[in-house]
Amino acid sequence: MKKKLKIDLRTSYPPIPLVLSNKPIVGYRGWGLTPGCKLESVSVNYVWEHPILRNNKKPIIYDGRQRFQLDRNLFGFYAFKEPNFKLYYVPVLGKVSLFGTVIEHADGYRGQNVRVDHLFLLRIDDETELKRQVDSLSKTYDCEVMVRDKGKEGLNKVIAYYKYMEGESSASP
Amino acid sequence: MEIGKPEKIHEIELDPMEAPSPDFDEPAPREEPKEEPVPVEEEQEVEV
Repeated sequence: MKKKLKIDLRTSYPPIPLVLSNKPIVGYRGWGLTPGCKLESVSVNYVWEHPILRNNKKPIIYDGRQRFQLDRNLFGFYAFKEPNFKLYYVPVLGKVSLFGTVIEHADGYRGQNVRVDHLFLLRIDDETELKRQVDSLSKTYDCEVMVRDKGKEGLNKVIAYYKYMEGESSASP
Repeated sequence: MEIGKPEKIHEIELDPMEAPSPDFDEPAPREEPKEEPVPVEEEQEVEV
């Protein structure tokens, strides 16, 4: 006779500590850009329509035994812990804050709710189009948008900027 | 995005709408202009 077992994935496997906090978690990530100048996820088909996005479903821990239906946003909003972007080829890089249930992984986070805090747009040759993109992103996501130069040097400047800002915010009381 | 193995769960009770925005070059609050004091007395020419 088969028994049905209910598994609480948040506590049963693996035994993961739970931390309560009232401070958002800061993460870094990259996006693609739609023709309508909206951010879109790189690895899934998802457009970021607003500066704050909420997910009614809490992110859960995949334990290797259960298979979950790949529902929209089932796994939460992703971000890296450090601004050491490997996605140098994507047009937009930036900083986000995560809220609600946030699963901390070794190198990043999966959050239930997210807010876009700052963006770096890749420089393009057409100055008029570049200005349109900056203005549009700034308006849609209600945050500062800076322009980064192409190539490794431009990327290193972004990393240096975020590391500097990280130091500034941790130094403040 | 590859973010490795799960290590911890955080419950952030703060709502994104209530959280303060990051202070990237946030402009300083504007000071209200101070009103010039209105003189209570004024000099008048009086015939003596």
